[in-house]
Amino acid sequence: MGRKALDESRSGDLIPGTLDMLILKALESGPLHGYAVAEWIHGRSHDVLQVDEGALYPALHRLELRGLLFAEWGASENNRRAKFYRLTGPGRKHLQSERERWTRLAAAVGFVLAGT
Amino acid sequence: MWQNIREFILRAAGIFRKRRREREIAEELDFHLALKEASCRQNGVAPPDAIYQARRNFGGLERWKERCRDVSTIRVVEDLQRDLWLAFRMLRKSPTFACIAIATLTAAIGANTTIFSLLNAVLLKSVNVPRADRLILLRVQPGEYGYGFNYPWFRRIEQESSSLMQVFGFIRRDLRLTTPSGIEDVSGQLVSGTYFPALQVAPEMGRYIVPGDDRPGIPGGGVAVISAGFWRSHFTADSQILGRQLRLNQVPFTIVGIMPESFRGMDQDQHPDVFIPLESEPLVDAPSNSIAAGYRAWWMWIGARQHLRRKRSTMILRYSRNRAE
Repeated sequence: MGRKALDESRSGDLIPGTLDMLILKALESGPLHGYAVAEWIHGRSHDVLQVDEGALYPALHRLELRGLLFAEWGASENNRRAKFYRLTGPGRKHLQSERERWTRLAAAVGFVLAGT
Repeated sequence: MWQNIREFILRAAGIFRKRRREREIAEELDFHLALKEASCRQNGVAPPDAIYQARRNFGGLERWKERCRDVSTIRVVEDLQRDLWLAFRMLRKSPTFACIAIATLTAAIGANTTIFSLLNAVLLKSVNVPRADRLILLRVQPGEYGYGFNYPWFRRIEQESSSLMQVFGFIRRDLRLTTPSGIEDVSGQLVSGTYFPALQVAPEMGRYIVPGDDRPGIPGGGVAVISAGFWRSHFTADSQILGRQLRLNQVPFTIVGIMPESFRGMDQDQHPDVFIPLESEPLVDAPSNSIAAGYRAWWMWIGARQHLRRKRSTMILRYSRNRAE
């Protein structure tokens, strides 16, 4: 693996502050445990977004503390005890506002870069 | 706001449930690693490599555990240290601001906290009342206030120190007495209702002024107590004196009692002829009114009888001027 390839793999790093949004989005369709959230992000971004998997957990806990997520222990698909997170009402609202903010921001950045 | 409070409570609770949280964090992260390892093995990675790969994808396990802990508890000591250091640096950066802030705080605290030193003046030992050694005069310390107090402070001290001592207020007033033959100056004392009960000298005749007499808005002046000397010189020791009226500064007072010859009150520079309630001050001082002037008028003295003989003669009473104003 050459130097160039290494640089390209880094380009999938998350823009700071976007992880929260991705987590909320992952949980929009139903409760998941941490591992499933990581898988969902990998899968949905066609493996472009590299989430340092460990980084997910402090983020999940922070969102739980802020009341945007609700966590409870349940049985996983392989019948082990796992902590499942689901979106709360405020979490759903927060996701909506983050989505709008992101769309506006992305459009603005795209507009600036498209200019000459 | 609500969210901040909720977050604080949860974090505070996190301190106490630390062990359980640690266990839960470890369990949650282990679960993730186990699934990751299984998934690697399914993709054909050999078991030891699968564990290694799972850990590598995860990033330092201990580091993330640490970060999870940070989220759920308050790192009180570290944060406090950091805040103090930051505050100190900011103050050092702008010394003018720091000086003004410190000066303001000092002045504010100084103005709100007044120390009263209770002075057992040698003078008072000669006051001719029972247990005179327990009598004290209050003064404000530090400062050049001397013995003068304002009315609101008097009422506050009276309330707050009632368990330690019996507080009373008094001040001398020269009054103009209207007699059939003209106007005459007499020396008088304005005294609070607690004055006579605290001095514990029984009247020679009738009764003395009690708290019930010392109420705001006394109609027509209220009651007066006179000295035995004044009784003899002005009323020829008339035994029917009680209930008679005195006009002092054009205000009518009703004589209710006579104090014995030996009684001179707290003010040793004076030999008072009449005592009238403190609350009649607006009537006899009209048009000025020291009671209504509140904190601005430093016009009266405060004395007290201590319930117990105290070695230390300083007590601290805290006042917030704004609270009572």
